[in-house]
Amino acid sequence: MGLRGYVLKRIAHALLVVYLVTTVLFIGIRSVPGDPAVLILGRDADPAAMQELRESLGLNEPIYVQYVRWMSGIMRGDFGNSLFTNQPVTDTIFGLVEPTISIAIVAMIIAIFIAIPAGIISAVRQYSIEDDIVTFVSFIGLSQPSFFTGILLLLIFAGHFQLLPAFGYNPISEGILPWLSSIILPATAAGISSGAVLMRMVRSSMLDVLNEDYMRTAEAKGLDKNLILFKHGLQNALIPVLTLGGLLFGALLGGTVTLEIVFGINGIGRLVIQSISRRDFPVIQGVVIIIAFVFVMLNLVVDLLYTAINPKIRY
Amino acid sequence: MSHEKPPTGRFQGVVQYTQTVWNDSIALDRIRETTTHRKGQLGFLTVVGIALLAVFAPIVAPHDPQAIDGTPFIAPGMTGEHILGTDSYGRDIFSRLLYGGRISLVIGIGATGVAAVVGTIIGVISGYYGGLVDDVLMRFIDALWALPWLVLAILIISIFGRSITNVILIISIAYIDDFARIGRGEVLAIREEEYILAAKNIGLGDLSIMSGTVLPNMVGPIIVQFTIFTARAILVESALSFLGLGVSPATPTWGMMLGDGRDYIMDAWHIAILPGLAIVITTLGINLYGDALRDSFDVKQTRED
Repeated sequence: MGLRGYVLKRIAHALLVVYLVTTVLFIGIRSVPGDPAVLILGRDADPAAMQELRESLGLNEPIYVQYVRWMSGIMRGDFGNSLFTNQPVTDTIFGLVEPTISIAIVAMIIAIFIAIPAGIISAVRQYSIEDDIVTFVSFIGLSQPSFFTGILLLLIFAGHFQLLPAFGYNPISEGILPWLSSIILPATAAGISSGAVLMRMVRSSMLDVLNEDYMRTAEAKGLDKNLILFKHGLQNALIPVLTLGGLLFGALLGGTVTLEIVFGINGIGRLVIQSISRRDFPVIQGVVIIIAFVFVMLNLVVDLLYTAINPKIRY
Repeated sequence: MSHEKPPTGRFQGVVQYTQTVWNDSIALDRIRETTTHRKGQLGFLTVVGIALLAVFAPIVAPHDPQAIDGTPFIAPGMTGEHILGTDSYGRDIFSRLLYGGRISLVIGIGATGVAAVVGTIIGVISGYYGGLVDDVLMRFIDALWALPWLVLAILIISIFGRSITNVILIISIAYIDDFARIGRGEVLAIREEEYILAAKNIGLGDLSIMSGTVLPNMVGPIIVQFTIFTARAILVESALSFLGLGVSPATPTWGMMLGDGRDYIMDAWHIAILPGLAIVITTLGINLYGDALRDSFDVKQTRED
């Protein structure tokens, strides 16, 4: 199988997974007990109005017609309208995506800046006091829910020192500094959790590489120690770490949602929680499909990148 | 393992498997070994301590966890009656923490247990048979993997509502794929080993080989994975409860207590911080013990840990 074949196969798999997820979703949502029309209008609503609503939601059609219509809607990026605000779901989601993505990206940057140096130190000085400290701190990071870290940061930096705002989000269009100050606390909280996972991975990957023959060869050749470490060591050690990047997105997402609640930021997380309590199914569907799609595509890209940069894999 | 006659039936296979695990002195030795290091000891004692407190919560707890019987907002250590203070309704925080621990442990162990059993079986079958079976099962596993726990939670809670069973369902579905991948990987690693071929040659059935030979060989990685995912499940449960997607509001859970305390964080920090510490101490203990197990079973760090 050539590289082209491999790439095509991976893309086909990714699309199949997204298709399976959407179909499961359709079946799941349709099996909800209760009539959506009653849920929206209330039990005592006018029967004629209810009939009209069912008509406009397409609930009177046979199930397979609903399925085909639903699928073709998704293909066109049309997830219907919110039952609550009557706005198109796509607009609602894209209107709230900026704070969530901002937190996730800044959190990822913070995680990388914590994990790589800490992981290298920990691996190069294995079993030293530095290693013990870094390892113990990373265990606390692994064991602490990010919303709890968020509350602690809130208490310290917004409460005690009053350095940063405790609530709300400033869009990036209002300037970099107000934007950053509004998301730095939630992003740090999410970044610590992801950074701990990433650091463990950097450490174990670096330890593997340090024992490789080519490292010993480089040393025997009399190359500079730092050059060996960063050129030969780190470059190879980071290859397996890359695969984690896509997977961390799932964890980061969960963390971001709880942190949006902690810091009163109006993003996808709050939208989801709100939609569940309002039983706003079109919005719930839209968010789920978009998250699953982004997750699958991100991991596809990571996998293909991994194949591209790893000299051991050739097709 | 030496056998006079090879067991052929399904039942004998299971019996043989149980005996192998039980008698497998290597596995038990490895587990014993964990308590010879400080990391293992610390983790072990923390986990056992918290488990005992949770199990004996009805005896240890000085108050009914739901009873509104004290003055609200008492700080920890101010009165002997409420050693860890009271929450915004005047409920005893210490008693609520004890009962919350039960939910955390039941969900953590229950969800991981379901995921471990279902996932390992899927993984072993997939790896053992290969071919089309492998392809179909692994696509199914890929689809599960594409649903992060948050998405599963949104779906299951919005469709079926809040309950302990549903929270266990969410977390176990989220982790099935991880156990399936481990099970499959372990089988692929040993599938062509001589003892497997030998077992086939003396006429053992697939089920006997899988339960008698394949499974005992992956006890180590699965125990390690189980421990680490129990800690993760507890974190996920706390996040769900914090978001109001966990078990019903009538049951005290650490995540929910933390969520309630958030509103008073600037004035009565203990309401949120104490359940937060309970979560951290519990998961830290489990993670430390899991790492000690990993060291003594010599399991390599996988890409997702």
